Amino acid sequence: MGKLRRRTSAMWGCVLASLGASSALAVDLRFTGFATIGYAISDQDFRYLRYIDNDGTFKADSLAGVQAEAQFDPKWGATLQLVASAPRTRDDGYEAKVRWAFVSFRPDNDWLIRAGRLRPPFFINTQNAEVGVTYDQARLPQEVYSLSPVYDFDGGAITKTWLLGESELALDGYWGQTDLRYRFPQRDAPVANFRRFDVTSKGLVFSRSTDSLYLRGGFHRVNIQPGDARPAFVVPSARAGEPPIVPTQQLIDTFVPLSIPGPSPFGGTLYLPGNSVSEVVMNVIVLSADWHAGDWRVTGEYGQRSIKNNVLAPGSKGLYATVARRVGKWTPYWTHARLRSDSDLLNLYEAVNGAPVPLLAQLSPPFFPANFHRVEADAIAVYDQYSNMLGVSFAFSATSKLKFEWMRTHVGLTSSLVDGDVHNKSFNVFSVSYSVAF
Amino acid sequence: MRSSSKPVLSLVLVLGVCNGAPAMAPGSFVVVANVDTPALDPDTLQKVYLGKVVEVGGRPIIPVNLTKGNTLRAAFMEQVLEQDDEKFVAYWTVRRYIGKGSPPREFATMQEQLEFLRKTPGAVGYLEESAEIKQGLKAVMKKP
Repeated sequence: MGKLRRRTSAMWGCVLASLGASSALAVDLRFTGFATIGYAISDQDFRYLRYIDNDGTFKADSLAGVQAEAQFDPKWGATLQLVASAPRTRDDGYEAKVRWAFVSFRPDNDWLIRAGRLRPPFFINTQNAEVGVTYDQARLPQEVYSLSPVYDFDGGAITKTWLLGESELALDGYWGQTDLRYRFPQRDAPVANFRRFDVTSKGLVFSRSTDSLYLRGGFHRVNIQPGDARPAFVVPSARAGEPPIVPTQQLIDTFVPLSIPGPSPFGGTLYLPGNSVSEVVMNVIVLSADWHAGDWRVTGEYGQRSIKNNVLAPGSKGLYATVARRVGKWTPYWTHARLRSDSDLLNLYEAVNGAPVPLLAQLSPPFFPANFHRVEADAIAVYDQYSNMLGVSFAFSATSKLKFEWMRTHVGLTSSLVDGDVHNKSFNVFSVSYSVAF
Repeated sequence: MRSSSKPVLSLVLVLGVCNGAPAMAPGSFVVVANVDTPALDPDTLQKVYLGKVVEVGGRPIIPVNLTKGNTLRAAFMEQVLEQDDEKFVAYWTVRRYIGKGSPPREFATMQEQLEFLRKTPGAVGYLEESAEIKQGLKAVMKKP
């Protein structure tokens, strides 16, 4: 981790030095920015997407960013982007973070090489997700775009482009590292559990675009390791004065059922943390299509996380489809989005969450508390939900957009995007936002 | 993507001639380049302004623009890039924020642009049709 930090600091230093040098040499230096102020309110008292409840919030969608670009000569450039938004490592307050800090080299028409902190192409709007004016939806469908909590990596990317008459083919390859905090809502604690992971990701993304159709397919291989020595969760013992129950593992492969003999409620099944694993390997497949015909636009994306060596890791499938039609400056749209964890994970969650902790386990050392299984279940990132979004954007100009959206979300078994004990429930979210780039 | 305002432009032209105005279309321009800039065909010029082509024959091409709101810029967008200015700005807003470059450098006045074109090998821009093509520049294309 120290190495990653040192490398990141050195990288920022290089980019800042480049930008400083560009100023001294009076080469092309530009400053731009973007911002969204967004308000969202739901009809429920539990929180969705960290902040949205029936009290309303500006924190879910509001942010501001500035970008500095230096072009040293026709081939070499550098970009630095800073974004102030709700923090990614905790729920309270705000933070300003460097999103991009890269040096780019474009030796000819077909090659683009970038090194530093950058955002590889995952979904169609991943790279510009924080620049709200570049798309019509009030909020990108979280059933798909929450596939990773962070898409910024410190590393390198190479893009090869083929201009073939009316169409353009591109192959993007990248490698990068980041340390991210994965958020686990806790039903029995006042704050969510942000667990740190070191992530290395590499991938290949192929795209083909014409005036009317854009297609993209990507494969990403992600290696996830525990980012610190903290255990997956800590549970106070049921008996005062006893030490808390702390799993020794940072990454657990599953919860193992242990049969406690005796009639219910004295006996039953106690689920205990399984084996410790040093790393989780995740394969991510992304497919995207975006079709324009006159004023109509249809977009569909699919994202799949597959994990072979760990039942507890968040294997899932997510997809959405959006149909939009431009009517003058207005663009009404409808989106349907779904996210569902792998069946093994859903079944495990259901079993652990639904099993009462046997009384014999509560009454004998280490005195498991009655909510032990709930705490374990909360350490699983699990999703079973779908949403319909009906919205409209109004473009004052190419760089200024007002958006309204009504979203109705249904949570099935559960969803880690929701805080609280929520299952088999539908709720509404109303959003209004104004985005600008300058 | 294709311009829909060409009939309107034609109508303006006809009205202009009927009123005794000079027989030059409003927004008529000539695409000019530094003398060291390689030859550019219309398709390549379009790709240059969209950031898809940055060099021709191994020599860099540096497109420049007048600032938004300039009528000559609007005419250039329509007739060379075959899209309106709003689409062009929207295109570059996305391209900039996916980390694939910056839009062409902009100049507030024709004089500033002219100076840059004369001094910068590979530079390409546009001038009013009536403007004198000074030493160090060459005409690439005349529109309409």
